[in-house]
Amino acid sequence: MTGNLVLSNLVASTNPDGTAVSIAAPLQGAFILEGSLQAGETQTVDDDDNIVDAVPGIAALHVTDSVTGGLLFQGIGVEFTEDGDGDDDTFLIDSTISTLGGTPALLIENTTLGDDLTIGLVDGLEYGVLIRGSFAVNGTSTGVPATGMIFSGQSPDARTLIEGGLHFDTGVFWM
Amino acid sequence: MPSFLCLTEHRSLSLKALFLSTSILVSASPLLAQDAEISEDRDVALDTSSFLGLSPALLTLIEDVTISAPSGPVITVNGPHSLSLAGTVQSFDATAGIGIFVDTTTDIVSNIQVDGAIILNGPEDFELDMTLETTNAGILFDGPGTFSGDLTLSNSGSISVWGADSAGILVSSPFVGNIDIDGSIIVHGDRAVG
Repeated sequence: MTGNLVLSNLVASTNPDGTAVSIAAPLQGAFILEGSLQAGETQTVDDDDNIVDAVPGIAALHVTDSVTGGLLFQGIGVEFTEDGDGDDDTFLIDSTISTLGGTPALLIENTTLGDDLTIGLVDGLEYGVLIRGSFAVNGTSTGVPATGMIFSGQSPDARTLIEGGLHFDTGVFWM
Repeated sequence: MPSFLCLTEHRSLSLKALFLSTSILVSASPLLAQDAEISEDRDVALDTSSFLGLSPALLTLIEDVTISAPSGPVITVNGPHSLSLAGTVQSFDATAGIGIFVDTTTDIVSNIQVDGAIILNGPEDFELDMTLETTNAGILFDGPGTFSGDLTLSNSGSISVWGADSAGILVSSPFVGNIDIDGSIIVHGDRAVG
């Protein structure tokens, strides 16, 4: 895809092994979240009132190919205090990712055998991944492990590269 | 034409302007197909090339009007046709439903604006099973050609899809343009992807 992918509302996939957003081909542009992502199935109760543990999804955002324009999780930060649209009637709100069953909020993994996966810089900034919103990762059930973010390379010839690295600009990450 | 279909066709302003121009300009410009508007409920699938012709045109589904189909894609875009959908697109296919199929067997130049609802929840009285394997997709771009244009789901728009392995929006073609999702996408089923 050549262009930007902008999400400003809710995208949810809350059943086992679900993924709210998957980028599985090169994105010549930016991924911008201004809304919410949800993934992972909540804890339930069976017919005998036994607790059924929460079940993880794959990830709220699963990236398996390069994104030239970076990943921007929008919101008001110390370095970004205005929504920038020149309109006083609307205000940018913090983006949110919330997961259950220990589903990772962000999973970037190189699944190729010989190509680097590169997350380029966010437009006008020096970071490849910029978090101004909130990530809430919840194991939900006792004993269910939870992992917030995973960056995974495949081999020395198939690395995962985040240009400029990861930056929190008042972004909140809780588990 | 089915009696339940009310098709209001009108030539666009640009076409009127074209006719007022010189014959040289007319001969140098591609003939525009007629835009069309669906203003009454319809329960038969359509493909845009059959419906609009082969030249660029706009298909509009007005608010509070539903187009549905029992199986397969409800709307197939297979020509240079844009969509403006304020009504509801609904598939009753339990396992192979598609709301909008953009068939990029050849390159497609189009813009798709969804202001209404796309719903894939199987046939009436169907017991929804989150583990039933499906290929359901709210909007699917598929084929070797390139789609050039924008896809917009406005804040009044929504996509709701049921079934394991289902997808809200699946882009499997080269895509040149922006995707702006300001409405909600909710998928229900194991391994489903928004």
